[in-house]
Amino acid sequence: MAHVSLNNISHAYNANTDSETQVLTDISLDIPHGSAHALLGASGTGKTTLLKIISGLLIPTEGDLLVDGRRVNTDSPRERNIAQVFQFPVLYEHISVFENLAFPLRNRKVPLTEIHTRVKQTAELLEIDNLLSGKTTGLSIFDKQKVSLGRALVRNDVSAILLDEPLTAVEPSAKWRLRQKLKELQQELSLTMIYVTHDQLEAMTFAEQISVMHEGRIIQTASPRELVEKPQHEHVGFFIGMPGMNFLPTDSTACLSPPKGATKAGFRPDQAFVSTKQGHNSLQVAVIDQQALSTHLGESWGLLTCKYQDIEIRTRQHLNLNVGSTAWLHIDNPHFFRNGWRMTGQAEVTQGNA
Amino acid sequence: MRPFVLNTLLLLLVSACDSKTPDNNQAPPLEQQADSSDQHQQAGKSLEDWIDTEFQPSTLGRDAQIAEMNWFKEAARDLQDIQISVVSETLTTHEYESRILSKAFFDITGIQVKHDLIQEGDVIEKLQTQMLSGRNIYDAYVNDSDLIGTHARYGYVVPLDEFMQGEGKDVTSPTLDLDDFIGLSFTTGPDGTLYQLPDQQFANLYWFRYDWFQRPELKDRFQKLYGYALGVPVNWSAYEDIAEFFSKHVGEIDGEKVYGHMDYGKKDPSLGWRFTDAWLSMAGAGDKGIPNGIPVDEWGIRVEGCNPVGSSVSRGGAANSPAAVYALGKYIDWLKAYAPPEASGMTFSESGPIPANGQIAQQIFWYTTFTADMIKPGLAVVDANGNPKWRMAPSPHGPYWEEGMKLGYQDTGAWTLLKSTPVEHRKAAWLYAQFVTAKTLSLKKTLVGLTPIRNSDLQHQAMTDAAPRLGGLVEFYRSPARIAWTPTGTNVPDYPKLAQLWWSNVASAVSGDLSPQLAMDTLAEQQDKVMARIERAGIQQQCGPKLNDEKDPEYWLAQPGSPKAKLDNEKPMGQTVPYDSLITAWREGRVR
Amino acid sequence: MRKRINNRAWLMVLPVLFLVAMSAVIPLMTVVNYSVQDIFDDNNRVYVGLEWFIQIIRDPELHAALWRQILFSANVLAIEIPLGILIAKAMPRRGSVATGLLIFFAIPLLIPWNVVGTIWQIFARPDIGMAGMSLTSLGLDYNYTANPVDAWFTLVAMDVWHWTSLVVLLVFSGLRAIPEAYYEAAQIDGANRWQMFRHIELPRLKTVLGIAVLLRLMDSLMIYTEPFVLTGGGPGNSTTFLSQYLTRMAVGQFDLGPAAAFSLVYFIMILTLCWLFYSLISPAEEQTER
Repeated sequence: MAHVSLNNISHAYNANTDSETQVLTDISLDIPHGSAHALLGASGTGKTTLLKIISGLLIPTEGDLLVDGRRVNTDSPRERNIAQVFQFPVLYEHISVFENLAFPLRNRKVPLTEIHTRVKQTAELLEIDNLLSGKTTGLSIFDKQKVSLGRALVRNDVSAILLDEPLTAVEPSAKWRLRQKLKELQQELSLTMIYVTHDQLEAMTFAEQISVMHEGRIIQTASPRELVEKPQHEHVGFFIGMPGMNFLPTDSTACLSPPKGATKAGFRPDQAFVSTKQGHNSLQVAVIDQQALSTHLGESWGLLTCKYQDIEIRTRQHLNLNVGSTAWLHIDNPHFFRNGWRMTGQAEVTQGNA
Repeated sequence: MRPFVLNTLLLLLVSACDSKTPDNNQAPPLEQQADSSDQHQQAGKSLEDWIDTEFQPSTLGRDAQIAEMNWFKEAARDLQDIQISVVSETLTTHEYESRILSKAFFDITGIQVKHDLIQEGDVIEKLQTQMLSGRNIYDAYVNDSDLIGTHARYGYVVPLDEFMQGEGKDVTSPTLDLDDFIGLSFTTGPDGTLYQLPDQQFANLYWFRYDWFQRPELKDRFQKLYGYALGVPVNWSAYEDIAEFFSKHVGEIDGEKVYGHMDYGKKDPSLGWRFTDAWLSMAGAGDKGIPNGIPVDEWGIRVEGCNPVGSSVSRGGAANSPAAVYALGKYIDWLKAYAPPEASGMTFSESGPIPANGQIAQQIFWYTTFTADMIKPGLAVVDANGNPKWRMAPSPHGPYWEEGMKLGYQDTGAWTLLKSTPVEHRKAAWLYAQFVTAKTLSLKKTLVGLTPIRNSDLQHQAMTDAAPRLGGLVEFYRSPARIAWTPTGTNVPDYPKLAQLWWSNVASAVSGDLSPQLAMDTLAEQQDKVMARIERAGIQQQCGPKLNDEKDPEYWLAQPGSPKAKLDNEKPMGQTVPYDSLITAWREGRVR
Repeated sequence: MRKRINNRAWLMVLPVLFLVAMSAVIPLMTVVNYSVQDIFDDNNRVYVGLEWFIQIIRDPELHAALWRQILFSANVLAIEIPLGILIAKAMPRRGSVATGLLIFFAIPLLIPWNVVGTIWQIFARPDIGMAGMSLTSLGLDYNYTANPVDAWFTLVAMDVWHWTSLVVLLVFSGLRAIPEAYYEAAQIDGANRWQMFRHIELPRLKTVLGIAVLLRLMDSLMIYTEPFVLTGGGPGNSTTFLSQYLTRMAVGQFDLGPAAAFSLVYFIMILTLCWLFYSLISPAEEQTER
């Protein structure tokens, strides 16, 4: 396993040379040996392109890609020793599961006896050893994805395993099991894994570090906890959390005493509550919806939606108000953002990576 | 089952290129004035107008013409509302009928005629379909008299003698003058009954470059090499020598490669025509007898009385006799040794116009229907004065041939009426058939289409005037030699079925898959099989096949006449005659 | 209630049954009827039993034509399928160049078959044809009208020219349907070009190739027009296939009895060959479906 570093990588597809489209801008990332890293973002934010650059299917137009300190920009995927698992199981359907697993080894002229042991080991690891002799066509997608994963694991020279939304096609009931398996393997074998997903839950449960991508850039790389607590950018705040962060423009919320230059105040649903009492620095809102999630001490607990001016705001709290009533929103220590980026204290945070 | 539908369709499309006779673009009218009448095509010309503007020259005087046309007008009185459709192959002659004569007929009689022109193979197919199904497709057909034996036996065709005496009496022209037709014997069945009325006629002759044959240096060289004079070959030995002389010894004339022979060899139905038309009789395979050998004809079919009894030597036939095998062998040898290499891939119609390009010295089997192709000004075979550099002459004969035998092919496309056509339509069609062959206009039609049918036309001054430009056509038709050129005769009980057997067997021999002997053995056996089936079906009441039992071939070869035993020497000394003395003999009414 | 619905459903099938009966069963039965008779015209038919079948099955010319047919089909398949795949693989996957090439390759397919024959008849002529002349000028003694080997070669070349495009178009569309991920996966697995073809493209092209082979097989078994125009089946019988043989009987001789018997035999032969072939390729197919 290896240490993967991306230094100021940018990429543009120039499909017809006349119109070129910048899909990645100035990406820098450091993924240490044996770590589980997730690339999180909505579709079209450049995650898959970034993955292709790491695997060697694309050569970046700018920047350096280093594996264990060696620049590998122009190495072919074969030379790079990087494995990948795709959104949909990509299998060689005309040959057996065993041959599928053996395929990358045969291509690298691994001796026959070693192929056998390694395939066996991998299959046992993935609990698919009973499927080895059969064809892949009859398998469930869950098993198919395990076989594709096996093709990555079977290589002992692999520097990193890239996973491109590997749970997308898997049956919902099996998603959790596969994710568990992935996590388990990553930890047991201390693999370097890069996991692409648009699902924050997947990313948060899987990865130690998450890079949130937006419009071809990484806007924050941090641990799951940090992402929740200290979103570096409005988008991180909005994207992470269920539901995401609430935002209010500072010009209408002077009572929150924003620092100079701040454009928005942001707060998570559990950083605020709505009550009938007017308090210090509270804002007057209209309650428009309550969604119960559980009961606690005889009271409903859940998500409350209210409206301040034209902005909808969600809070997580006791649901003891009437829909349609007027109440007061209390915000506890909000984050302030300037032009999208979070401000720490009075100083403006420079955009950057953790 | 795609081949049934699509391919049959395509076959019909494709076979359009394989007509036995060249189409109209290849044979433009000889006389320029023939087309002048186009401008007078407004409907409703009077009978006199037609005579004065179109039907000239004529062998009849103006009064006789008017009288004849008036008879047609009267005879059609009760048939005026009828519209008939007739069909013929695409020939200059028929085109003239379809374009001009059918209009004249309408103006004069009030009967409307749709005269369709289609390829010969399609005419036969339509005719067969009407015969087999009994459904009226056309009211009359012009088809080659090769089918006379078929027509006479199957009973689908109206016998004209009977018709002219009976149902058709009031529509039979008193001035028809049947005896004036030169091809009447071709359209008469074995029972002596007339089945068809000739409409156009053509022959198959020897063609050669008269100008080259006159060159002193070539004459000297030939004389030195072969020991006799270069001239019109009388026998196949001489033809072979001349072919060799031009292809191998002369090689080039005036800087152009030349060949001593031209023929065609593509595997195609037309490959069979030259054989069933006359080839075996030219070699001498059949018996004496004009128009066709009796008892054995040029197909090698023997008859007893009028019943075909077999075509294998073992049944007394001659289709696989030594003479027939010799005939096939020579055809192949010459095609390979002396003809241009591409000839083996050509069909009848592709090879027909080739001599006009000026590389061919002679052709043993040449159809006069190609005459018009060979006299166009500017061709390599036409001189500066517009006269042909070539001539036609009698075809040479093989070593088995004897005086009194058929020497070549001559056929007449003739009007055929079927019993399945309603009587009124048949009568109207009969009027049209007589009209387009009437003396009033027959000479004009002959000058346009060069397919003479009436003796009176041939003897007319207009033909004498045209003669020099036609390379011997007129002289041939006027000579008594003409009768030795005849079509398939009455021994052949089912022309369509039997003719098909020839070309594939000939093709196997051409490629060397089968020896000539084996190819002719197979053919004879297949012909006998078809005749046996007709016999078994009992469909031909009259003159149907009654096959002989098989005997040792030696028995039949020992009998006098055909089948003839193998000659020890199939290549006797070559023999030639000077063309000029031949033509003089023809002009004086001698055979040679 | 349920039963009544089912009955009505069967009524809906009636028009189709009627069409099938009119277009296939009745004509086929007519052919069967003809095949046991000697037919001269509507009123003159003789029942002959299996005579035509026995005659046909024993006919050495037919045996030769059958072997020639099989050899021809094998020949053109062996050339057209690999060549078609090669060309399709060499084409760019998309863009205007690909479109242009597709149109270019479709041209031979749009030419009427008899015209294809005519084109090659002239093209291959040793005296005036471009191909024929070039071969002759190389010192080869080439004449497709006289030499059976040359005729065979020309016919195969013509068929390849005419029909490889079909394979190209089918394979091209098959290749287009393969998701990019398969190629990427293979690249990552370290596969080379041949392995990618062998393990990704070939298995994924199986259906399309099956169709291509089946189409070309059936079509080449029924080939008629092109050799009819080019060689007429000659020289000798060297390019005479089953359909030529049939047409001579049915159209030329109007010999309906033997022709009907032969069409049945021909029909069954093609059916058998295609079925054999189909069952050879389809077991694997079925597994894929499940």
